[in-house]
Amino acid sequence: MRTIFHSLILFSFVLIFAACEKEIKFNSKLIAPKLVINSFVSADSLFEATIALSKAVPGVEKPFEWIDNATVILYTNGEKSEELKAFEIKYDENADNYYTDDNSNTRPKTKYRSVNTKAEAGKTYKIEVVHPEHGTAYGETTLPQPVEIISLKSEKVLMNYEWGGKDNQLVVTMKFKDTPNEENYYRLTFTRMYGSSQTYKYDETEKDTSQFTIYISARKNGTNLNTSDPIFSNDEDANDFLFGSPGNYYNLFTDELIDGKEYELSFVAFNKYVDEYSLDTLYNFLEAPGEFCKIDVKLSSLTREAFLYIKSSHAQDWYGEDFFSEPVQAYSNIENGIGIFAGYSSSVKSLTEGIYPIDTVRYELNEYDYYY
Amino acid sequence: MKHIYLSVALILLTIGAFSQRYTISGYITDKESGERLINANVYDSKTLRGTTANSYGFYSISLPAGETTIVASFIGYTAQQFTFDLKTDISLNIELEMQTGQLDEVTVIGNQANKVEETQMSMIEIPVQKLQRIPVIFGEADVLKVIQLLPGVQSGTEGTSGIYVRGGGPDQNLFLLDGVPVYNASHLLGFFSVFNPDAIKTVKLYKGGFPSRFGGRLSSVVDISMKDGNMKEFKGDFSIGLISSKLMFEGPIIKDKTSFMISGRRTYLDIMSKPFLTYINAINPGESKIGGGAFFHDYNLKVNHIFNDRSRLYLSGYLGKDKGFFNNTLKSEYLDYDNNPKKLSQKTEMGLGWGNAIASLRWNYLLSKKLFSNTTLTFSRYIFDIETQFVTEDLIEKTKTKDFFRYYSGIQDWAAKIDFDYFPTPNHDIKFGISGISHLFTPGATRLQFQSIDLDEAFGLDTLLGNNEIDAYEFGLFFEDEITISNSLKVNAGIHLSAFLVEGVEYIRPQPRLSMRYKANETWALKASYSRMAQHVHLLTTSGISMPTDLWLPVTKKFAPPISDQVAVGTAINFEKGINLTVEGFYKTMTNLIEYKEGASFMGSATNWENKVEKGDGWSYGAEVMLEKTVGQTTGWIGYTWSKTERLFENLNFGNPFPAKYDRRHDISVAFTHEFSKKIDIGGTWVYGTGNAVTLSIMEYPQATIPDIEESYGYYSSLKEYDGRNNYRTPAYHRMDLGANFHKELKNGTRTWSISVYNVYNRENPFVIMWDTEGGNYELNPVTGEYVQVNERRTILKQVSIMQLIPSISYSFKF
Repeated sequence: MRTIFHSLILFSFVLIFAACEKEIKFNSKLIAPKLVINSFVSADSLFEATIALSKAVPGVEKPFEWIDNATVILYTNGEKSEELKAFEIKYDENADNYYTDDNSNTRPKTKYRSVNTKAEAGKTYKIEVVHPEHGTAYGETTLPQPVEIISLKSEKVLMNYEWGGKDNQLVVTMKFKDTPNEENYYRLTFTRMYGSSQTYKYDETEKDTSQFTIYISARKNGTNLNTSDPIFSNDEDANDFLFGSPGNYYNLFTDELIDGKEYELSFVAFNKYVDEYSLDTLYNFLEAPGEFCKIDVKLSSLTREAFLYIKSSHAQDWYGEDFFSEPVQAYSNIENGIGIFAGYSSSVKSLTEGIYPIDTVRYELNEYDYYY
Repeated sequence: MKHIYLSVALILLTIGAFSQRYTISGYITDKESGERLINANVYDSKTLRGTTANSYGFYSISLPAGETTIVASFIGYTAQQFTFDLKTDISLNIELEMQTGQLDEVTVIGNQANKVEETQMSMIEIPVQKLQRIPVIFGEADVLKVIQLLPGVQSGTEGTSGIYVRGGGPDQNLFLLDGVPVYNASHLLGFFSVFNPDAIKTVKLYKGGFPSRFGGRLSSVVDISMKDGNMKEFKGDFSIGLISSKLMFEGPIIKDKTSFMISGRRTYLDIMSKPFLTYINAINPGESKIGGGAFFHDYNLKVNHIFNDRSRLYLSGYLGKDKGFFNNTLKSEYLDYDNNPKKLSQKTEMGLGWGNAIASLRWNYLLSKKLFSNTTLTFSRYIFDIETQFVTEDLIEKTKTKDFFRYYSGIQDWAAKIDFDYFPTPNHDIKFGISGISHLFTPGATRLQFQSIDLDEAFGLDTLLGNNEIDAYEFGLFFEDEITISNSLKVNAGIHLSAFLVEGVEYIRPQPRLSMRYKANETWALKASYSRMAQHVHLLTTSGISMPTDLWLPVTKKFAPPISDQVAVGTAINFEKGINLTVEGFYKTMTNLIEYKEGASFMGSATNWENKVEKGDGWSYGAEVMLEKTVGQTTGWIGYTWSKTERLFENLNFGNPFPAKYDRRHDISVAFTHEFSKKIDIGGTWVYGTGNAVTLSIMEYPQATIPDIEESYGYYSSLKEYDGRNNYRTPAYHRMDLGANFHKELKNGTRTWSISVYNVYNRENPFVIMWDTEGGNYELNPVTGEYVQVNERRTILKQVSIMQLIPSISYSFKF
């Protein structure tokens, strides 16, 4: 009797709350592929762009179609300046960072490049892509002037964490002056070379001990800046304590708080965890013989389009199609198509902690960089 | 302010300065129960001019001296006539008797009989006794589910009781229970409303043409009055349904002086789910055991006492609580790397709860034959609370770690108001009053706790994050006059003035209101109205479901009060045999609306909520048709709505207009009841709505490589193209529900078996639509020893449906 009762209740429960899934027809006008123009322009560099076709979400999964038969024309301040040429992109399939599965659908096969025209700050550029089947798409952008880095200084800081850990940090402070009375968009990146004789080798027998050697690890740091500077805080910080937020992944900031002012911002350029077995590093951080850290700080003035694209595309990537979050639309400034044509102008300044190079020291690239 | 007082005084004096007239006043009540009859009519039989009883059954009519005959009438009751030689003021309490045996022929859905007479447009009154005949889900009659069937009202997600009125959002509806705002009108994620029909006397929905006495929301007012309690004898009913049971009991404490009404209900989904979970645990004989459930319970209480003909006191309250819980226990035994035995117990517990508590103390006092006062003190509180706890215990080492997470939000109001009904002449019905509310908002706080209890030491962390509590004060002042200019022309003009003080900012918003009715003949009237409404609270909501996580927030320095301006025109026609037609068109604009930013979701705590939202405007327009049959064995209506609702936000959709989430072009609803005999009646509904707006990606394209980053996994990525916010329409929604009631008179009362079927033809309506992939499978080739792909990988659009054919049965007994 009890079993029958339970079965009846179970049946009712399932009947009421069972959800049913089924495929439904995608009921929308035919989704014609659009021309996708992707191009970030850096002042003093040649122009590069990839051209592809977008594909409808529903249907059989297939790789993107990369365009190599379009006419790509570059205009400078309204005048035609050059027709970009298509080049096939060669990848080193043996390289460590060649990920076959992940990138096979999205890795560009062709790139268009300018041969003569280099981008210049202050000029307005237009890229026009004419395709025999998919029409004409275009985008336009004006490169901003670079903002000079006035000074760069560093300081070694011992960080004591609440949970008991310790960290030696190299804190870099950069000073710059915002251009007044205009909306400015920035991105801070840096590259770091760290050299140490104590660098780990998988196979110690490979180490050449005949001469004092410093092993160098080099890294681009374009994301996740280690900083608590309020200028980098953004709206996304408000979101989603439980599931995280996209944060300021690409180190973007605006002049909303500092319009026309000089500003000093600080960030951690390098750090070494101080564990109980290496207490000596607490006192010898970047002071061991031959040890050095060279930081090249790059302050990029972005176009508004570049700022919006970088920010929105990362937010879309982060949130995906999360049921509880409002979907994020990625910014595009391509007319009759989609993608981005935007740019930036940068200024770079360097500092070195320790001495580099030293004539008597041999330097070797460290393939097993584990410093982040 | 001084000018306003002077103006009001001047108007009252002018109106009062008439020739020798005497006043007949009193209360109109149901003879059987003593319940006061709201909106009963009293009119002079010669001129046919008259008045209607107010929300407390009080009427007052001033007529010239001499031979006078007045008639008191109310739908479903036998009219009474009184003749006087009027030479002094008269107090006359009228008891109307229900028309026995004919109730079902005259009870109407929608108080249509007055539609041609009254200036009020865009208002529908729902007699609660009819609710039981409309087929319902789970056998549970629901006020809001019936409101969803009316033109101009759209329902939210499948099965839920949320309402969207004339393009307004879910926070733009003011739910008043005995005059007290209810902030979350939903139980069980919106599948039930908090209003227990057994405890309700009247329900009125205002969609436009708002009288000046209402304020605080942009799009609708649902004004619900609880039963006062039977003054004559003890009555009650109880019912047992598939997932809930309820009881209502009322009666006199002192006959004709003091009465009470008490009701309660509880769902037992938690009990129902036990065998289901037992089954799940049985077919998964691992060491993981799950438990969980959800239920709600709510209670209504009302007590009132009549001191004398001038004075009456009411105390009413509501308490409702929803609770959901889930737990999972996992026990494991294994050898660690050093071959030491380990024995762990991991327990996850999650609980969430939310609920409203409201109370009101009301004092009716008759200052004079013409001036009725109503003084009210109210309290309203809504709290949402979610807790999660993870406990890991090493049963050998005797160590324990505990992670605890709690998130809570809420709103609490204390309010006081006094309002007056003044009946200077039959041509004027004046209402005015003032109110003050003290709000306390808790917009969302998170508590994190970590505890590690070791053999030797204990380590802990306890942090509270989130938004600060916000105090705000709201004041209101209103004045309205229903003016009978001629037999054909009647106007209701007024103003509602609100002031809101928050964070040192003061928002004062005058809101003019105007309604007029032109009666071309006794069966046809033309109507027009204009109303401006201001709202001082926001509801942050992320999905179409009525989530208890939705946050109530005040307007702030940064976000000024939303304002709506609505113009409506319409006509009401009474045909023969109780058939009525109303047609209305409306245009509404809304400013200072808020919506979540792209990517934002509810559980933020790190910084202020204001960073999560964008400010913008909206507009809505449409036409509504309602054809009703209100008399006879068969009653019901056909409703049709055509509407369009859009939003414009500078920082959403790249500054382009987009359809609101609840924009739906066509809505049709059909509802009927038919009484075969006193023993059997049936009811049915059919609804059809074109697709809801959702944001769906339609294209994919390669993402530009961001400069100055290391090439790594995911370096080459793709983006989704949405083609605009709310760019896609879900499939149309339609559904038919049928039900039957079987009554039998027993010795001590009437028992009723109710059988109903929700979604009779098992329509799979969209609850959620989403992209999914299928195919792309690999199989081992036995010859080559390699895995080969055997079918293509496809992306398909999938629809999730819930609430398919659901039969239900309930038993009730009325005594």
